[in-house]
Amino acid sequence: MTKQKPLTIIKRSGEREQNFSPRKFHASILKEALALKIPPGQAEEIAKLTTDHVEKWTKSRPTVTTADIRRVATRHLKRLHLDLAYLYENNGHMI
Amino acid sequence: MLNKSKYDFELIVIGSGAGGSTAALTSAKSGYKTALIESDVFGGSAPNHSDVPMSALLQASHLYDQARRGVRFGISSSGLRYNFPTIMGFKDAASKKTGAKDNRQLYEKAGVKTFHGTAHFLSPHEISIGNKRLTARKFLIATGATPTLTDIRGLDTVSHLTPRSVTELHRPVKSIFIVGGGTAGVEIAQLFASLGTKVLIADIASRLLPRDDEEVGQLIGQVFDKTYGIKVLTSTRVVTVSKDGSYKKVTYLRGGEEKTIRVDEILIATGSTPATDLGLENAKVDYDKTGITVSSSLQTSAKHIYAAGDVVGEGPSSTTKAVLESQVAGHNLFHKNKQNVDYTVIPKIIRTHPVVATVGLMEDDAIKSDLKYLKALVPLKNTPRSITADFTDGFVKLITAKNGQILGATIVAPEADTMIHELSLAIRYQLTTYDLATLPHAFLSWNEIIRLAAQKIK
Repeated sequence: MTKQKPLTIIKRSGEREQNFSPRKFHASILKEALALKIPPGQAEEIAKLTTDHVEKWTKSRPTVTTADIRRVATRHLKRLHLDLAYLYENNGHMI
Repeated sequence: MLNKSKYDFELIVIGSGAGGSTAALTSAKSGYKTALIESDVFGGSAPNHSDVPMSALLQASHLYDQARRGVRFGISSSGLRYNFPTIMGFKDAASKKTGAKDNRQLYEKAGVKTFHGTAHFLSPHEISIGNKRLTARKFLIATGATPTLTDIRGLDTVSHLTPRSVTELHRPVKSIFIVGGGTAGVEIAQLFASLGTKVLIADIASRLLPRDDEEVGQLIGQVFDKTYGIKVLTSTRVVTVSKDGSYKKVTYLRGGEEKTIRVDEILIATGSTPATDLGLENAKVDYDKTGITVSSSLQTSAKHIYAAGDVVGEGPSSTTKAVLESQVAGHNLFHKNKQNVDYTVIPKIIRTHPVVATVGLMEDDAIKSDLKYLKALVPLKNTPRSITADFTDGFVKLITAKNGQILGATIVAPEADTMIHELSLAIRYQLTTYDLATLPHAFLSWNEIIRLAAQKIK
C-alpha cells in the first residue's frame, strides 16, 4: 500500500465526512474474503490488489463518496473473484 | 441541505476541448456565472495533440513525399532532405497560431472562471476538484475520450507510442509497428512512411478502416502497399510485445501462423473510450460503455446536466461533431426552445493522401437498415483532372433514395475534405442526383467527378 494524501469520503447522508483508511479498507476486504473460505494467501493478495487499485483511482480524486469507493472496488473485484465481488457489492442488502 | 437558489455557478463545464469550449464562452458572454474545469491541457486534444498538430505534420510530410516523386513533372529531388526538429517546430507554431492551444487565459479574459483538476460528481449539483467543492445549477459534461486499453501481453513493460505522443517525438523513427488500422493508425502510418520510416500496420479486421465502406479500406490498403511500401497486415492479432535491446519485438498471429518482427517503435492506435469515470452515478446520469446517454437535444437523464463531444455515445467522434454539439448544448442549457443536432450532415475526414471524406449514410448503414437505395461509384480516373494531376487513386460513391435524393456520399480524392461539402449541402437541402448532374462544375476541378457520379443515377 502506497502512502498518499488523506482521502475524504462523503457519506450517503452528505453531512459527515471522514478520512479514508487504506488499512481498514484492506482489512474489510480480507475479512469478507476469508468469510467466503478463500485461501488466506489468495485472500491477502486480493485485498492488497484491490486496496492498491482504489488508492490509485483516488489519487486524482481526494474527495469522493462511499458509493464511489464501493463501485470502484467492486469493478476491480469482479476481475479477481466474482463471488467475492458479489458479496462485497451486496453487503448490507442480503437477507 | 443545499439552498436551491444559491449555487457557486450557473453553469459548470467539465472539459475545455471542442465539446465544452463554445458552450462555456457563450454562457459567459450571455452573463451567466460560468466555470470551466480541465484536467489536462486547456483547449483539449484538437489543438494540443490531435487534429491541428497532426494536420501540420501531415502537410510537411506530404510536401516532402510529393517533392521526392516529382521526377515525372520535371522536378529533380537529388539532395532533397528534411529536418525533423524544423518540422516539429512548424507543428508547434501551427498549434500556437490557432489560439486554442493551452488557452486558459482566453477563458479567463472572457469571464469564465477556470479550474485545473479532475472533476468528480459528489451529488447532482456538486462536484469536487481536488479538495475544492463547487456547486452549480447546471452542468455540461465534455470530458472527451481516453485511449482504449488493449490486452496485448507485455505492453505494460514495453514503452510504446500513442497518437498523442507521436506529435511530441524528438527524432524520426526508423521502423514502426502500428496496432490499429482505424483513422489514427492510417494517418500516422502514412505520415511516417512519407518520411522514410519502414511501417507495418496491423488490424484484426479484414481491411483497414473497417468502419468505413469496403471500397475505402481496400483502396487505402492498395495505396499503402503500392505507393508507400507500407506492409498491411489485416486479419492479424498482435499476441505479445517485448523488449529486445534497444529494439522492440512484436509477435503476431496471421493466417494461423505466428511471426515475430523487430522494430524501433510500437504505436498503439486501437481507438478511444468515452471518459465517463467522474462519479456520474452520484449525479444520476445514465451511461454505458459507448458513452453518456443523451436525448436529441443532448440532455442527459439528469435534466440539468447536458453532455457534448466524444463522451456522448452518438456518431463517430470528431472535432466537427464536438463543436456542433457544444453550440447546441450551449443554447439548450438556457433556452426553452430546444435545438437538435443534425448528425446527417457532419462530414467525417481521414487525412490520408488521398483524403477520405464521408457524409450522411454509408452503404453499410443502408444495408443494415434494410433501406431501398441506389448507388453509383465513379473512379477518379474518369475525370480530366486526374490526367493533369497524374493521380488516379480514388473515387466518388453516392448513396441515394429510389427517387435520386442524396442520402450519403464517400469521396476518396486529393481534396475530398473540401469536395465533401457539396454533398453535405445536397443532403441538408434534399437535393437529387438530377440537381447535381445538371449543375455546371468547373472544368478540370476535382468536383467534376461528383457530377459524373450523379449522372450515373440520374
